[in-house]
Order: sequence, then structure tokens, then C-alpha cells
Amino acid sequence: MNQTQILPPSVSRIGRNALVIGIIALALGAVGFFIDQERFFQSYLFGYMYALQFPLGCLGLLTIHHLAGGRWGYSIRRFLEAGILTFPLMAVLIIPIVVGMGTIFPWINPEEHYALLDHKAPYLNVPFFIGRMVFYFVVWTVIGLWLNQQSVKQESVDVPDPKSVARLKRASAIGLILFMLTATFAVFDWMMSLQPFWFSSIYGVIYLAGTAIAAMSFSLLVGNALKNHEPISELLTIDLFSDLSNFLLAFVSFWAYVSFSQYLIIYSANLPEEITWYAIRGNGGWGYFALALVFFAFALPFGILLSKSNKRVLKLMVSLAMFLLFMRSIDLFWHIMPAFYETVSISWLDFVMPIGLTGVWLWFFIMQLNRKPLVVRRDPRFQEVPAHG
Amino acid sequence: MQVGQTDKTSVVEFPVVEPGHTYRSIGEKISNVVLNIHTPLGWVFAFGTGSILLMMYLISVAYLFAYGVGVWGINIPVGWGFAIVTFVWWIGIGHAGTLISAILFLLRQDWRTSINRFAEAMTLFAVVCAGLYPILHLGRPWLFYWLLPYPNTFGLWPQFRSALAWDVFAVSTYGTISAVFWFTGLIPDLAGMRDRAKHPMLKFIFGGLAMGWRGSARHWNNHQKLYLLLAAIATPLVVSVHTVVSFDFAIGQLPGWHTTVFPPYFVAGAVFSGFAMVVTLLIPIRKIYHLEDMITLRHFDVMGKVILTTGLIVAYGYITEAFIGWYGGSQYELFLIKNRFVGPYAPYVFGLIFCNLVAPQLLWFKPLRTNLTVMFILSLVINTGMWLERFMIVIISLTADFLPSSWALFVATPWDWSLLIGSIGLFLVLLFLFVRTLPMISVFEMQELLHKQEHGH
Repeated sequence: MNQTQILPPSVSRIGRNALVIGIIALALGAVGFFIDQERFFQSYLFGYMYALQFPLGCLGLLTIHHLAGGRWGYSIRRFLEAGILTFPLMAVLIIPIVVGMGTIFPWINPEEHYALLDHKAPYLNVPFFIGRMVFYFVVWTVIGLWLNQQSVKQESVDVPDPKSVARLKRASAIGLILFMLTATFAVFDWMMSLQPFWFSSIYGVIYLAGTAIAAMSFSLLVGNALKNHEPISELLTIDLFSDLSNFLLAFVSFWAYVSFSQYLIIYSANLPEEITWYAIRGNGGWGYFALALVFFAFALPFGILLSKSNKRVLKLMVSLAMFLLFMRSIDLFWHIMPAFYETVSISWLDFVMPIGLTGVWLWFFIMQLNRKPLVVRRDPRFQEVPAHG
Repeated sequence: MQVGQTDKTSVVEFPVVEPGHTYRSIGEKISNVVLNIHTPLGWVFAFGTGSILLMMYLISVAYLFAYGVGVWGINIPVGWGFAIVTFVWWIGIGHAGTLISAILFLLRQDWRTSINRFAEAMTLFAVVCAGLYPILHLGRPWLFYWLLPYPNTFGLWPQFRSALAWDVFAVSTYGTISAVFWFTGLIPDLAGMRDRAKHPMLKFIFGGLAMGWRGSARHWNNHQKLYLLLAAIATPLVVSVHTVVSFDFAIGQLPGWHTTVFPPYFVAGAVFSGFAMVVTLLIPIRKIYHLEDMITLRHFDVMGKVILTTGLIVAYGYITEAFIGWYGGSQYELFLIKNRFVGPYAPYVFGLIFCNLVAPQLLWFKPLRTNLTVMFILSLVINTGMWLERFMIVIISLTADFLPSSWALFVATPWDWSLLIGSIGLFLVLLFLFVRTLPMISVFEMQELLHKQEHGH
């Protein structure tokens, strides 16, 4: 199929603009490197963890879709598949974090000697840290390629092949398990170890719940951009958007549930090695971020999404998805930055980094999206899904 | 017999209802289980076993009331012995019912239809068994109402900062909503029983319970609205109850209790054991009442998948808990990990690893998921494993805390065991009474499902 037919010009234009904006933002960020090196790396980590949510979330949603089925997944499958092809880009973009890891992660060059860090040294040491990083990206890239290859194979036949479902399911089952484990440890490495004395066993799940919100909001926005584009427009009905919004409700609730549980458990036990994490994040102005998360990342979207009729108003859902993507940045900022600053500190770099990295990612994503037809035609299960009536 | 056993790679799954049924045949088959004067031998056997065990339970309770909680193996520091282990175990089992009824209803999963009524009843009886344990454990169980916040002249008020007070609300709310949900679903079927019953006494009882249901369009409209609303209310309860139970442990400081992954990991473990119990019970009941055409291999296939998935989530909980235990570097946590594997209760821990992590991996294979012998044995293994898990969490953690001078082992007495085994009797008696006296499969929902299968809408 001709490349230009797959995506409408409006979407290709978004991709080009995203690249231009992304490069300008990153160039500005590069200037920041010469002004304040420490802040550059800190903001870069924040921007990177923001952009990384999208491919990770896509991987989680896609594997769940293959395993559980459901009408919603066939419509956005190509978006998710394009999302998981962006891991090679994310692997390249992580290089600055490797370069600046000495300034970002306090366990690398501690100011004084801590016995506790000696205890953790078998895990928290530079070679193993980099080795794990390589391992995560190899796993994610391979799963991404594998799932896409199986999907291409499924489409390559004239008559839907029932075996293709079994193959996709197998790849997804293995993929989902590997993804959960690697992503959890990646979050332990890149976010939890910013405060190396602190620990929380649910921490990986909290970030992953956030990636699900991000990827689902993003899919809703991509669907909205393509809703008038033949032939995928036949799938992008208001019923679909309403289903996606239902998922948003579930993910927002789940994120709030795990975040609140972690808070309540740590608050109640009040142990010094744990409570410090919240003590910093509740004072010095960071407390306002926490309150903003309670009201605007949970209560408001939850209230809006609870109503069935709201979920059928596409404009409202599109605005909400954008708002949720904004709130994801507040959440990650609140998770990452207090590790470096006891009082609120906002730099212009905190704006250009997420914009730059997400912009470049978006361009790369749209390039991947342009690689195969958007409509799933040869999935035997999809043909069985009855027209909604 | 294994109708529908097709090529296993086929996407055409086993049917949810075997072909050949009509609306009438469904109604008759399900109601006849209750209305027939003939009682199958299998029922008599199961009910009889349950009654014997229930006797044991009642004797244990009587002895407990006469002599106090000292008859158990509890001591200082292990104040929470079998009573709390078994409380958590039963309440976990009670999770499958509401999950099947409410969440799967909202997700429009048609396979839930023939097992939801039964699973809900199972939930209620599991909650009954669970709820009795903390009361028996009180020492002065006749004062249990002190747990409730009510105005009184003693100036007595529950400590709201304690998760134990939250438990009272979580469990009683869950029990109430489950009962209302279950009864609401029963009403149209009770009316059906009233119409089919011959004996005037039965007509009177079922008629009273049906509360004047005539099946008019307005009745159905209101009923469906209420049912949907109750499903929506029950959904967060599936998560909240075991979350609060996990807080009983996690908000404390004790190594082995205090870890942040507990809430979702407890909920997953609850669904894991709840589905295992549904499998344990459905396999014999399906055989006793020849319900193979309504509870098909499809159901066991899907339940096997749910068990496998939740089992893997539980495994994720074990992995992060153990890793963070080491990573945190607290000497008490490190000792706990060691104590679990080489301490006096190590066989329990290895048993748990086998039952909950190793054995469920068999469920990856569809031929095993649809092999009822394998499923039956596996469901028993999993339920044992989940009991062992609660034993590990509650008891091993308590035996050896921060101060070696306050350590003590826990040794269960015969009264601990008799109360545990006896509670299974209470559960079985209630369950088989339900099977004999009320329609255990929802007639109207099955008829609706048949309509959908035949007409596609």
C-alpha cells in the first residue's frame, strides 16, 4: 500500500511539527547543559520518564488486549503496535542519563560512607545498573518486534488463520510477564534509587498504573485525530471512545488506589527510613503538588468519568485525555524532583525536556504508525465480534 | 461426554450452554433440583459430612466459650493464631462471588451466567465463616457489639485509627451488599418456583419470598436497573474488603506485615483462592445434578485462566516483597526472610511455594484446564497453599519480632484444628442447604443467554 494513504496529511503534519518543536526544545535544553549541568540531567530524567510512559503503557495494553480480547483493542491495536516499536529510540535517548548518572543518582558518589549502601552494593553498582538497563531495552525491543511480526504475519494471509491468535497470545503471555518484571525493576532503578535509602514494594506498580493512564489517553487522542479518516473511521465510533474512557476510569482509580495505599501504609507505620520520602513531598511547597494530584489527577477525572453520558461526549473525553497527560507530568515531577530539592524548584528546563523528548517520540511514533494499514482485517476473533447492537 | 471438545487451537470456544435446550427445559431442569422430592445420594453424603464437621465446630465453640481462648495455641507474642489465619482465608474465598457477579456482569462476560448465583451464595457462606472467627477470638464474644460505634454511657468508642475497626465496617458492608445483590437476582426465579411448586406450603414460602413479582415489563425494567446499580456498588467492594484486611497487617511495623505491595497482592490472592473454591465445589455438584450441559468445560477453562493470572500476580507480590525486604536492608526484615526459609516453620513456607507458585503453572495448558480431575486436585492444592500463605504472614512474623527475648513458637492445639476443620462443615451445610432449597443457577439469566445465543442480540 502506498505510504501516503495510510495516514491523513493532518497527522503526518503533526509528526513533522512534533519533530521541529522537539528538536528546538532539546536544543534549548542543550544550552541548559552549559548553564546548569546538574539541573540539566535532573530535568532530563524527568522528561525521559515522562516520554517513556507511552511505549511502556502501549506494551502493557497491547499484551492485555491480545490475552483478553475485547472490541476496544482491535480499533487501537495499530496505535499500540506503533508505540512498542519506539523502544530503540528510547534506548538512544537514555544515553544522557548514563552520562549524567553520577550527578543524578546519589548512591554512585555518596558524600560520605554509608553501611546501608554497602549492603545494597550488589544491586546498586554502576556496571550492574548499566547491564540491567541494556537488558531492559533488549527485552522491550524484542517483545515489540515479536508482537509486530506476529501481527504482520496474521494479516499476510487471505483467510483469517485461527492459529495466529494462539501465536499472538503466546507472545503476549510471555511478553506481559517479562514486561511486568523488567519495568518494575527499571522503575526501582531509575526512580526509586534517587533516594537510595527509601524503598517501597508497590512503587513499580504505581508508575506502571500511570503508564496505562498515559497510553490510554494517548490512544484516545490518536483515535480522535483519525476519526474522519477512511477506512479506520468505521471502527472509531463513539462506542469505542466510550469504552476507552471506561478504561481511563479503571486506570485512574487503580493509580489512586495504589498511590493511596502506599501513602497510608507508610504514614501509619511512620518508620524513619520510609516516611522521609513523604516528609519531603509534603513540605517545602511540594505538598501543593500532592494536593493537586488528589483533586485533579484523581477526584476530578473520576467524577467526570463516572457518568455514562459524559463518556459519550467526545470533545469532553478528548479534553480530559489531554488534561490527564498534563497531570501525569505533575505526578512524575512530584515523584522525581523532591529527591533533589527540599523546597519547590522549577526551572525552564523542566518544561523544555518533557516537551522535547515527547515531541521527538511523537514524530517517531507517527513514522511507525505509517508502516502498516490501520485496520485489523485478518484477526479471526475480530470477525466474530458482533456489530454493536 | 465431552461435547464441544474441538481442535484446541480453534478460536471457536466451548459453548456456554450445550445445544438442545429450550427456555422451558432450562427452567424445569434448574427448578427440579429443588422441587423434586428425590434427593441424590451425593447430596446426602456431602450434607452428612458437613453436618458431622459442623458438630465438631459447635463442640469446639462450646468448649471455647466454657474455657476461654486459652484452649488455643495462642500465646504472647502470637496473639493472632489460627483464628485470624482462617478468618483471612475464608474472607479471601468469599471474593470470587462478587467478582463473578458484579465485575464480570459489568464487563459483559456471558460465561458468568450459569455460575454467578452459586458463587454469590458461596461468598455469603464464606463471609459467615470468616466473620465468626474474629468474634470467637474476642475472648468475650458476647460483647462483640462494642466494636460498633454507638452512643453509650460507658464513653466507649472504637479506635478509628485501627485497621481492625475498619475491618468491622468493610466486612459487614460486604456481607450486606452481597446478600442484597444475591437476593435481588433471586427474585424472578423465586416467582418461577412459586409458579412451578405443587405443594401449597412451598407455594406460600416461595410466593412470600418473591415479594409479588409478576414479571411485568415495569418489574423487569426496575429489576434490571437495580441489578446494574448494585453491580456498580459491589465492584469497589471486591477490592476494598481485602485491601482493608491487608491493612490489618501492613500499617503495622512488624517485619513480614509491613510492605506496601500488600493491598493489591491480597486482593489478587483472594480472587485466586475464591476461584479455586468455586472449582472445588462445582465439580462434584455438576456431577451430582448432571449439570454438564449448563456448567460446561468452557467455564473451567476460563476459571483456570483467572486462577493462573491471579496466581501470577501473587507471584509478583512474593518477588517484590522479597526483593524489597533485602533491598531495604533492615536487619529485622533480613532475619525474617531467613527465618521463613530455614526457621522452624520452613516446611509451611516450602509447601506454600509449591502450592501457590509451582502447581498453578499447570494451568498454562488447555488440556489440563479442561481436565476436571486435574482441576479438582489443583483447586484443593491452591486452597491449601493460600491457607499456608496466611499462616506464614500471620504466625511466622509474630513468633520472631524485634526482640529475641520476646520470641515464642506457636503450636496449634487440637481445638485449633477442630475449629478450622469444623468451619468447613459449617460452610458445607449452608451451601448444600442452599443447593437443595433455592435455584442454584439463575433461570432467567440462562434463558436470556439462550436467547442471545440463538438470536445474536
